Amino acid sequence: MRIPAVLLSRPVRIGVPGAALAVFLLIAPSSFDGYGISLMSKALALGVLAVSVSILAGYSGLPTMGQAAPFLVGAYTAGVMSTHGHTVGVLQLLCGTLVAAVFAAATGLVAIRTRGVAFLMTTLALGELTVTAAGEWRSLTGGTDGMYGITAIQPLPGMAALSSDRSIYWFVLTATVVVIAVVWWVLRSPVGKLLLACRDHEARMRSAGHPVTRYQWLAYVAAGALAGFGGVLMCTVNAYVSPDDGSFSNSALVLLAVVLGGAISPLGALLGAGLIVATQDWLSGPFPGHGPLLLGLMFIVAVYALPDGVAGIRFRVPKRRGGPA
Amino acid sequence: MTDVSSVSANVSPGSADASSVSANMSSVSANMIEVSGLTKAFSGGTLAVGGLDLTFEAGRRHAVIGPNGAGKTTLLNLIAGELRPTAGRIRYNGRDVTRTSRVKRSRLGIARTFQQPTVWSTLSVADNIALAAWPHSKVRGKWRRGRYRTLSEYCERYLETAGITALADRPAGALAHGERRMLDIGMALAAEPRVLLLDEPAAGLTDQGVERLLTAMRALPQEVTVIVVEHDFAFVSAVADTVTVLQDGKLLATGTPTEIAADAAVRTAYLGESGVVPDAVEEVV
Repeated sequence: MRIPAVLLSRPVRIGVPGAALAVFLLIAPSSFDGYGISLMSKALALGVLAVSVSILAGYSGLPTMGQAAPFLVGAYTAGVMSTHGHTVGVLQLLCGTLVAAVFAAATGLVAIRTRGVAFLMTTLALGELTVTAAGEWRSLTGGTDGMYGITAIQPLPGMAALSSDRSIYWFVLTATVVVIAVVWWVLRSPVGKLLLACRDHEARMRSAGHPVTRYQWLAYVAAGALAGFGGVLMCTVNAYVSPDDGSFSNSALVLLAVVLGGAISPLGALLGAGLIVATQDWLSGPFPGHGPLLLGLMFIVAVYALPDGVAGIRFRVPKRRGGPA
Repeated sequence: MTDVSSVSANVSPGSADASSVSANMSSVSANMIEVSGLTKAFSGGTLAVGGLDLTFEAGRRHAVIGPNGAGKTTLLNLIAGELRPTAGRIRYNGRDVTRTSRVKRSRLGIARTFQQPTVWSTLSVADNIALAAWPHSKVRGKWRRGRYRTLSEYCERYLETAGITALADRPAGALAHGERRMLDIGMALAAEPRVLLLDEPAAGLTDQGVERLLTAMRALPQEVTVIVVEHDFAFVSAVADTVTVLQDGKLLATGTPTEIAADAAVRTAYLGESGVVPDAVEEVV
């Protein structure tokens, strides 16, 4: 059975799921209650984290288990700013992104030296260290109890504070759309080609004279900055930060989201994050206590049935060999 | 036979001038690549290259031949910086590059192809060439779309040289073996190297592909130094003006293709390997 060529064309492949997602994101808030809306905001924040993982795991061939660490750094930056009276959302996003980038720049020097499983373990260790540090540094983070007293933000200076779940959702959605658009634009540029080439054949890149380690470090810093951005959003949504936000299960869930969504698709990573939040929080209503089981089943199904991820369903281009197909 | 003499006749004026060229341009030494006491022992105890002393003169077409396991590919890997020698020095254009990384060596002008042609399989053929040219191009800000397009347009000439213009938009992973080899060679050419290392470039090519490869090699600027590792002696005698024979990681003989083809020691070395290759040697003689 051949798939009509028009269904495989780029506009259709990206446009149809993209449009469906856009419609859902715009319409859903009006039909959900406050809880549902805040879950969607949470899914978006996790989605940004998932996109940052897909930059590393998908584009750069660096499967990371520690992206929750810069996420946590971003969230704490926003939390500290809020408790000190700096409640301008855009400013929090900028600072959280910047601090997370600096954090990633430092940790990246260690992580980038390793590859494959070693990279996985190094990033896992860095993530766990960050969580532990957040739990111990009570004066700044409030320790394992978490950080309370985070006040509502104003998106821009002079605007009213965001008081409802709905207004927070629109803020988070706008910020997410802007940052994903930037990521998309960068990954579609020659920069994305450099990363893909490093992933395809790193040794060949080096032989061709490309400073691969520098590229990957930069990708690591950029992904860290993006994760920090997501962390700020998470702080905005929850009005609370604790070391749990950077936990191993969060990192693993997000890597799962990327696997579900298709490793090199930012859109897929977003969808994957949505699926995970839905499974964990919505389906736990009808199936109480079975969230982890459902996630596990979903993962098995995903790996066996959709090796290219949700974004790859029925859109897989058959491999062409030899002459024109 | 006639083929060999015509090729060497084409090449010899240039190579005879090699010393006068180096006198004119102080940065160019007559010996482009010079290895001394070069040794590579692998962890299993295998001595792939054992104390080689070789010079590859600038602007000449060198071939390195020898039976399987003679250390030919290891020698290329050592020159390209893919491997670190156990002992010995490598000089490139008068400069000691023994400890220089392969990224740096590539930027200094040493390009190579691989025995198993390696390409970036998810990218298009045109992108493969452009990315191979990237570190060596003077275009600034190539990460910007417009500049990258400029680079890509410039690189169309290499697609043409390699005969893969028609495949430009195809993902490199979907190429047939011979096409992939031509792409690998095109990528090496796109680096505009001063030293070109070719690891069995003719293996797996159709007759037409070999013909194209020969044309591409003859079209190389005269000042490019080529070192080609190859099994096929007919190919070697068509492209090379100097042949170096390795056996068990040691130098066995060096000379013109005709001299080498007549060399008794070389025949013995090849006979020890298999009965097929001597026929190829025979044909040339």
